[in-house]
Amino acid sequence: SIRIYTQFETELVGAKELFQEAGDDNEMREMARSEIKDIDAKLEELEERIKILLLPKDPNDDRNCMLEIRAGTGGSEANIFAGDLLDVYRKYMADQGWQVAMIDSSPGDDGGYKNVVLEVKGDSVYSKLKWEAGVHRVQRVPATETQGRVHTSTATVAIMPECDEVDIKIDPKDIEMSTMRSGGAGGQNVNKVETAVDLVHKPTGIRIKCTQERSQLKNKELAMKMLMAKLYDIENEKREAEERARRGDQIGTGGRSEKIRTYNWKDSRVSEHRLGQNYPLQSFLSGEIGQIIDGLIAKDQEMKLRQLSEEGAN
Amino acid sequence: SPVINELLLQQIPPKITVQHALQKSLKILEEKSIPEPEESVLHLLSHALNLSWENGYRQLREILSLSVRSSTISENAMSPIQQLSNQCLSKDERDAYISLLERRMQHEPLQYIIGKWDFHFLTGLKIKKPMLCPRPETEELVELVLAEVGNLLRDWKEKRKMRILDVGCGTGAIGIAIANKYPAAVQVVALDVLPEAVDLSNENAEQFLSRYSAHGDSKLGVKSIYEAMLCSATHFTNNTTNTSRDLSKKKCKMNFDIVVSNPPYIPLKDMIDLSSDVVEYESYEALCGGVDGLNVIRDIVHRLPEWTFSSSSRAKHCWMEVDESHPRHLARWLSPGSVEARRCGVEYVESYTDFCGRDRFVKLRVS
Repeated sequence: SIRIYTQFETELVGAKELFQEAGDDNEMREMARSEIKDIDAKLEELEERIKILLLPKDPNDDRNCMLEIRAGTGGSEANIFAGDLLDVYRKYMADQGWQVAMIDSSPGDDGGYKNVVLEVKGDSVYSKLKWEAGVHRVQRVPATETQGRVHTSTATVAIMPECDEVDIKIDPKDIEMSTMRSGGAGGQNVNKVETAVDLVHKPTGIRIKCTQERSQLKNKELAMKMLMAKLYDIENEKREAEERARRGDQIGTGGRSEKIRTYNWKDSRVSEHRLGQNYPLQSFLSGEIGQIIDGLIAKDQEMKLRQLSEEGAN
Repeated sequence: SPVINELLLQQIPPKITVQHALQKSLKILEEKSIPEPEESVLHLLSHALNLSWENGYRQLREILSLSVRSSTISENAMSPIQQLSNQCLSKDERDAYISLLERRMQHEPLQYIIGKWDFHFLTGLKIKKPMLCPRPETEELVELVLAEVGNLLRDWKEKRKMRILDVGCGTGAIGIAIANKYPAAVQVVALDVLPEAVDLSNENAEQFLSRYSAHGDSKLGVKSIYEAMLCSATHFTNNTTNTSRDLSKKKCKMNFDIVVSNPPYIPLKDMIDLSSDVVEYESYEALCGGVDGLNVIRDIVHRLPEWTFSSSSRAKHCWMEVDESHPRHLARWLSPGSVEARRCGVEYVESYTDFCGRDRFVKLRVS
């Protein structure tokens, strides 16, 4: 982009010269003038683009991530809503061509999930999904409701960038791991295929259950991966909260208890609170959340640009 | 058994959906006290439906926990999971599933019914009876050996590959998992007394290791990484008084750097307590190690110095998975400096616990 910019600058100089030399030749002057206008406009556009490229990037943007949906207040209806969000995200991820694997889940008794964790891999996964982090609120008549009353329930989405031992160091002594084989005989004496791993991180109390793999070793590694992602997420959240406090209120990416969206069934609309905008519910439910995400990315860039120029002015 | 067949044909009618098939068969297995009923129906139905190895059983696990979902999003197309849930079994699929369930209801191990399983990072290792189905503890044994291989490789000065001996290879799981991590650096020789085990190990090696072989003929190439041979621990010797037919064909270099084994180690008295899926299907010889469970382990110890003979002063270790009662016996018998340790030329180093906190692995050193 810089190269193109300097190219245009040279062209502009050339056009201005032409303008001078044109003298009394009106036709020439007009040509030169319109060329100048043209180049000026292109220069401005490029300037904007370069500014955005120079913005500080979120270091986690290129990473894959884990997506966790946790039913909040609302009992069965919250579980069902968590399941609905899962469906939406799966459609979006399929559209994006991302690889998705469910790592852990606790189904709700009447449907949906109390809690579900996905591993998502692909291009720009974190940079897009991070905008989904926060509390999602739904207002509708639940399937279980007999008198047609509207209920409000919530689900919390957490987006945790993938990380490794470079980002987060875990002391093996802090981990307590148990498996299905813990009781009774083991080894050659028993042939069981269930290799679920239950892991507790003693200092934080975080508990991870991993049942997905046939190989116990793989379950252990996956559980550790999840734990690292959660711990890394906690650290990121702390750091971001500090930054937010320093810069004053700003569009947040992951304030866990921030209510980011409300889904209203009666009015068929999704209200994205950070943008102050509404979107049609049906598109959202079909997995078309790209529009909302693009809007959030644009707004974030706008704010960062403004801050840059403010800081520049000081 | 005709009774089981009748029951299944009745309970799992034609045109049943995937979700109902799961629910009904789960109830049947639970009522008959078949161990791991949920795992059983998930893996067997996935197999009958020919779903993906990686995802099939996970999708079915989700379907099993799906209740009648809320209809608030019925305007949208059904998700792939919901579609699969409502799919009806074809005649062939139903027939296949019922025969698989029949076998499971006789307590046949899932790995035998399906014919393969995952072990360590080997996806879809072939498993056939009566070879022992690899256990999760044994993955830890592999990790212990891999750690040593990694350490040795850092200072590896020999011009040859590192040589590893796997005694009692069964399906080939241990040796192949090790070779899979270091195919260029390691050469595994594996032994078993059952011809079927030798064949299966070589078959599995072909499946997982031929991708690393440099030669055009993959079989030749794999042999430079892994080769299983028919031989017992005691008969694995170049001493010409031995009568092993296989070894008389080619003398095997006895300069192994590491010996690993998951030998039969269950003491005789514990064989009675084994559940039917183990004792009725898996090889007795692969499980029972004699009265104290140490028979094969003793054979191994007696051959260790010969197997690891070399001019190098580097310590040679033997890693074994054992019964919980064994570490203290071995610690006493082969206590460093003791008469027996000096006579055998082998010392006890230490034991390691498995993830259940049981004394499960021992490390011996050829002195």
